[in-house]
Amino acid sequence: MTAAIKPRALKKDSVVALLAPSSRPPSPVEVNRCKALVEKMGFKVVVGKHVLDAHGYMAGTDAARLADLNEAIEDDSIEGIFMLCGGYGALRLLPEINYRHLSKNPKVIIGSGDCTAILLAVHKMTGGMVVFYGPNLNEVVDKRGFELVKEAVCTRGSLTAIEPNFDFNSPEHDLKSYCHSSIEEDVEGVLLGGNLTSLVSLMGTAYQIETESRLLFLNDNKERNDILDRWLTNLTVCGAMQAAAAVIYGEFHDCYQRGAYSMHSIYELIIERMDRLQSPYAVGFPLGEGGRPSVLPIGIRARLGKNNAGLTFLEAAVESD
Amino acid sequence: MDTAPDTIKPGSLRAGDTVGIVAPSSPMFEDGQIEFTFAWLKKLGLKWKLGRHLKDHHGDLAGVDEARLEDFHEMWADKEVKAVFPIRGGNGSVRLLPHIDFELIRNNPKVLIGFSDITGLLLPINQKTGLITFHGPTAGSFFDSEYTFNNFKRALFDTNPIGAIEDPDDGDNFAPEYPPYRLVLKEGEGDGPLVGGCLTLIRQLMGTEYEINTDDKIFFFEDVGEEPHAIDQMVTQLLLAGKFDKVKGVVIGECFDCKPGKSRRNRLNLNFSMERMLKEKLSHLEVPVVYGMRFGHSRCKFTIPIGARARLKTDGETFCFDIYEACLS
Repeated sequence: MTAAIKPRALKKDSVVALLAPSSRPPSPVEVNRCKALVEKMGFKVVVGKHVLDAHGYMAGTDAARLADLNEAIEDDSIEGIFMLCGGYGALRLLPEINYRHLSKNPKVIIGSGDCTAILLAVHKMTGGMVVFYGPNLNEVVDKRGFELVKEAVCTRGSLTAIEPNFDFNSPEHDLKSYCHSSIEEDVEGVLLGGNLTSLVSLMGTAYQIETESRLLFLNDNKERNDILDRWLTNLTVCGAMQAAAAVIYGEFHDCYQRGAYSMHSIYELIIERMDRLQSPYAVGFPLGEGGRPSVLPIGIRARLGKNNAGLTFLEAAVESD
Repeated sequence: MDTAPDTIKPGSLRAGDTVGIVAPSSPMFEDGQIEFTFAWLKKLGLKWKLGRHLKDHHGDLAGVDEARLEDFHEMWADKEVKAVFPIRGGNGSVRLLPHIDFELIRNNPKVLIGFSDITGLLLPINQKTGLITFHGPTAGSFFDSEYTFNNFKRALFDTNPIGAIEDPDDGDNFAPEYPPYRLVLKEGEGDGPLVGGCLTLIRQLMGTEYEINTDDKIFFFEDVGEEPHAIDQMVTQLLLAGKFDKVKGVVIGECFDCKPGKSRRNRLNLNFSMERMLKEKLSHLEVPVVYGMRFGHSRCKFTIPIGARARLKTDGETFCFDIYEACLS
């Protein structure tokens, strides 16, 4: 595998662009809140010109959203791109993104949900640039989320390991959540993944993921279990699921059963599938999108531990200077 | 891409034939619903055999994958059975694909008909074996309306070509459901074999060895309960995958419950209508594009033989969707 292309870590006064390549943030107030958050992290903020445009379910036409994105990519004074929100529309932009410029001038890109399509396309088309699967700013609503994002984009060494299960000695842990895993020995691999719906929307296109020996992570929210099962079947039938070193499933926050005829929870659907495939997996891992937030850099080596499914990052996500 | 196998046409149905009823996806909502199926099969003079696992339940599936697969294979192997009728779509067909015995199907050609999740069998079987499969009602819905029933009979019992598709007779309907039956998004003329089905299933096959091949074909699709932004994502995926590059025509169905706010999933506040989204995404094509025809999840649905040749012509006053190749032997 070729070495990862890493962006530079952000530092005080780095310039960060806030963009909405998918749907529109709900209001100018929300944009200002996100701007204040990022300024509080110590960065200077440029808000995309078109983030409050409306074109149906998107924040402006494809041309408008693309102009914001490529301007942020091509302006070398901008060191980071933070996504304001998900929704739908990122997929439409993929053919025209300036991947060439990014591969020579990598910068921090962080987002999730529908923006997964951009993360995965950038990672693939730049030949392995590290991108950050982490909360869109509209999901950063508490101190913990704020610290997570800030740490992820500023830390020069490896990020702090994620311990997915509660520890009774720690007041911070959410006692509602618990991660279940079937890992008999530690599994190492390069991280790859994101929002399941968005990731599957790349299948059959030039941006399709390659999961061979990757630590594949999948998450979604507010989606029907039977639809999620379809997308997991897609990844199974094309062999992507089996090729991965292990699969890490998120909490699938607010995902639900269709009607009352289907009694299986999404976790049961996943566990049954993975047990059949005899592939190592963890399910209920904190991956954000409504569940407990984390930031996972796509493209760096990590280790999923056999005890408690802890995820240890084995290299820095950013270039050391 | 492999070279396409030669077309195989299944034998037509006639009174006295036996059909095999199976549930390769989800089960009936109520077991007793099968009584309606029996009554209508009798009217057609058909006999039936039931899959042994027809009434199994496993989550939203009609039994575990092995059970559904076993029933499905049994019906293809059974010489008495002239047609395989899934009782319902739902979810689960694609889970069976890696284990399906396509040789068995190729060697025992018979009618297979269904829609929605059954698309996950219709497309791969047509592509792998060359057998013409039928995108039409299931065993639980071929009697949903007179239009559905007549088109079903016309497709499966009559060895003549299906011919030009006519719209449902609206009779006294002063408040028709939107969209109109033939909303032309792009005029033109095209000719080619038919391919398509439920869009969600077409997505589910992308990137797999069963991925849809639309080259030189008339491509039809529809969906249910997906709002315009979700349909947009699937159509965009197909555009990125080049699935509209070489099509000869596009026929989009009514897409039942796909209006903004109608899906009960309701994920985005702002929305476009289906019509506007489809115009934005597909009117650049240089082939005819039509939206609104009634098939798939529409209550009134015509039956479409996948693999048979058809002509689509839309210019000014003329509209013709003619399935001119016979689909039965």
